[in-house]
Amino acid sequence: MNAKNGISRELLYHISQGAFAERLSQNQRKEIHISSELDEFLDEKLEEGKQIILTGNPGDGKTQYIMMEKEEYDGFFLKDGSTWEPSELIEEWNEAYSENRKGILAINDGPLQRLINDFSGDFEFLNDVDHMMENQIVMDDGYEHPNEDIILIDLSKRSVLSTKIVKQAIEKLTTVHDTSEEMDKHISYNAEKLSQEEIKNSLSQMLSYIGVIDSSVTMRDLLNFIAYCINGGKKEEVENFDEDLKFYNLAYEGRGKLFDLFREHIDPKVLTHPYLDSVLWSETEEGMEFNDSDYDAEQVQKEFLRKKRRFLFGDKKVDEIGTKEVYDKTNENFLNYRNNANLQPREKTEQLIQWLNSYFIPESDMTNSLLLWFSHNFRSKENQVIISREEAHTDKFQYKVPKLNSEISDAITFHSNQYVLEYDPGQDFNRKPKMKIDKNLHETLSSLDLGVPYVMRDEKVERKILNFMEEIQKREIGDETRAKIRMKDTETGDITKIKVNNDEFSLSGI
Amino acid sequence: MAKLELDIQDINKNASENFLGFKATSKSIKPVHLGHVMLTNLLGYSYNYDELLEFTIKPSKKDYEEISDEIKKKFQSDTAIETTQMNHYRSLFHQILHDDMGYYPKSAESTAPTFTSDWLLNDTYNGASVGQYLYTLIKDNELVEDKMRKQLQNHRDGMSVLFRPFLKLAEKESVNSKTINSSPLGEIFEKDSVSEDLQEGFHNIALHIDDSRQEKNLKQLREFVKFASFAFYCYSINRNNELEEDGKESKVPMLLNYAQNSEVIERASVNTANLGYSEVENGTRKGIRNELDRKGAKSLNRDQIMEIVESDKFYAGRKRTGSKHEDAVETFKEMYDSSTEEDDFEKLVDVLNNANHLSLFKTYTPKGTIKSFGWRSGILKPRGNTRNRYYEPDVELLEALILSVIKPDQKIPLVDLLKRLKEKYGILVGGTEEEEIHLEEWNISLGTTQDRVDPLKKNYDGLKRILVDLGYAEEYADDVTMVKGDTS
Repeated sequence: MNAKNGISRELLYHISQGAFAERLSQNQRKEIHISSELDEFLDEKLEEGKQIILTGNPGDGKTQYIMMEKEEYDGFFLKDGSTWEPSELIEEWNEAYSENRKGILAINDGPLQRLINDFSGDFEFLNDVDHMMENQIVMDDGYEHPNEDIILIDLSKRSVLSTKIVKQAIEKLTTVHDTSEEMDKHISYNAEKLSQEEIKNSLSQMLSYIGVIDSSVTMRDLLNFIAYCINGGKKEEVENFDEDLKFYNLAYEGRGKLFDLFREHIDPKVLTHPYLDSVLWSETEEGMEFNDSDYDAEQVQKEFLRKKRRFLFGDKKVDEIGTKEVYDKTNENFLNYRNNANLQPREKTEQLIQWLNSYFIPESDMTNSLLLWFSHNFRSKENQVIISREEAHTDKFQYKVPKLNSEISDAITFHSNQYVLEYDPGQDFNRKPKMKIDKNLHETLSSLDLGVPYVMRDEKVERKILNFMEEIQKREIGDETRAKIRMKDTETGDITKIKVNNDEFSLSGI
Repeated sequence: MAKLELDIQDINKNASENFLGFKATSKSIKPVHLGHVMLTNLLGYSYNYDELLEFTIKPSKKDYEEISDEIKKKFQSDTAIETTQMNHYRSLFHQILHDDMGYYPKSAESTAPTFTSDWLLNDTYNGASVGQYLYTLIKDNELVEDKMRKQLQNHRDGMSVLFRPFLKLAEKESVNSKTINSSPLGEIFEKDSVSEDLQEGFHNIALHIDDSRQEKNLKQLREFVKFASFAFYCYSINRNNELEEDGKESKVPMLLNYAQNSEVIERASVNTANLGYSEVENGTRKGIRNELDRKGAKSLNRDQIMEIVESDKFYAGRKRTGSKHEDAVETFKEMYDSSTEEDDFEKLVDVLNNANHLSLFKTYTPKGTIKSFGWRSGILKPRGNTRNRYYEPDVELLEALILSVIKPDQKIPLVDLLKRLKEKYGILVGGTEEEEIHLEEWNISLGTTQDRVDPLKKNYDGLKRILVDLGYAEEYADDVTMVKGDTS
């Protein structure tokens, strides 16, 4: 262990208990500060004399940043806007704004919304703040920043579980100066283990996997999780500790958001892998040396799961299997699609159109236009028959990935956990219908070709698709005299076609 | 005096009119009926779509071979269509129009097909007077009329085009628009009445409707009709309180149940639903009293009443002879004598009110109407296997309710939304202390103190989750949730 370098066990203990930045000393804050592009961004904007609003959830790191910057710059620094009486806060803020005083205001997004709701009528600049808040994430370039003096950064949009941040956090928290080099003490042992490259990578990958599923984890959640994996919530070292105090078990024991997510998504019981499981099970049985008569399956399972946790943490190797293979299948599918640079947006759009078409017509491989289906009744029950008459050309759709607006794109890292199919026929209208596709919907759509019977499909997914189609349909409807119409019986899945030609029907040529 | 008649069914219908201003004595009213009546009144016309009716009579009741040549000619150049194939189309067409369970082409007068434009609007008999009340709510609102007219006269949607060959040349028939402003018991649109709040709700919904002859928005049409259904329900349960001289300031509560698996909320929600039915029943009783008074029954004593009951002036279930009639007479007498009221007139009111709920008398009361309409329109959901129902509006109705209190481009805190729903319609969810006060005012208990706090919070969180999923709400730190009037 690096003697006298890094943080103390005491600080580690506070962090494992969910410490708040304002309760730490400036030195302690520096010791655990995770540097990122935001440091540079804040420096730059403060130099330019801007007023920065840091908002988000409690634990996002607002106070940490404000306390760090306050030391270096004079100006208007207000770290706990959430605790102020709103009328006093707006007076104070308005004064600083009117006087053009640079600085940072840290306020949770809830109180900020309340402030906007209550005072935007009297304080014009709050409407700009509202606009910035609403447009942190955008679909297109061309964001117009409404106020040159103010910048708003919503830290809840920051991808805290990016490997870059997680690795830094592990490095900071495993560098504990008052641990021993002996491995018979639990804090020393866990800090040493987690600082090993293999284990650090494995943990980063697991957390990054969780980050794709849930983007609401805060910096405090992350630090708390890692600190607890090291000390188990204890201030003092425990000598000759047992398995319960080892990092790969502690990760499943703590309390908090990230622990819950970890237990849910990195559950070795649920994440089955036939080859890995058979290897680990045999190894466990052999290691326990049971006689036929005293075989204890429960014991074996317990030990097996422990081994599997170690494997997931990179603390145990099994030939030919990488840890990611065990848990990352669904994310991989989604992420590969989203991140696949070889597939052009146009190709992705066509792929999505084909999936949506095949939702209603399983054998369809149509990619050049989307058949629009609709159902209609006043009971909000499932219809016996759904109808399609229109098609919207694929040119009118665009595959898009939500991103930060251009004003703050250099401030934080944001990874969207969804992508979007947007309908944009190029006409001038405000609302462009969008279908947001997250990991689960992506899975549903991309696995349609496996032949899921129509009647077995999820009603909610169908409702979502039909709502999207209905929004498009109202703009796509052109000719009211002629149409080729499909009627789908929702019980049998059969489709019947008919042509309407002004005042007559035709059953031929369809 | 002329011999008074006691026709239980007529008294029941008139009682409904006296109380509500319209006849709510049909078990078959569905949202689609109200849509037809309200909107034909608004437009002042409906179409005669006899050809479509003939074509879509179920093949089992009228084979294709029997269908007139005029209709067959609509299938251009398809002279060799097989009967089975054509019957398949007929069944599909029928099913599309019947997806609201109101399409019965053999009985044109009461049929109510699912509709997307005025082409399919029918001047239906079912729900006629209820629909007239709803029309009264919107008739003076130019915005509502203008936007609905544009939407309904737009025939670009898939359903209108599908049925175009039958409907394009259909004859237009004028409809005399009728309004309902009062009942014998009082004005309907008084200041601060629920009807006024509902009028405002329609106006707000209209603000959200596309103002275009080019764009056709079926979802908005559905939301409009869903809100109309809610308006009928909400007015009916609140009318009695409005007629009370010392009525309560607050609306009759409707506790929505969004707390997953909370016995406390579910039970209390059922109780608020039952309270609503009781209010309708109490109002009907007022209507009965009014009707009997009008008939001059106040001066009757027991003997005179019994004389009528035993004579052919007593109509129970339209049967004046036979054993059922005798059973009715006997039951009536027993009920009369066991009534705890002291005054003969009050005893008569009591018996007629209670008799309404006996199958023997074959009446259908406003209470029964409201009960069955509540779940048909997606306001109520059944509780397990019991006949009890709790309030959990379906998604499109919930959306309509939100749009009825939030204007486009408005963004308000969730607690403000709930406040508006409470004040305008009596809808309660949880989240503030006011819900408890409101419930207590109406003697609805949430159980022990310990039980009370958490379920209401859970209920509030449950609704919040749904609004976030639908895209209307966004959650922020410190328990702030903002709700918008659109989901873009």
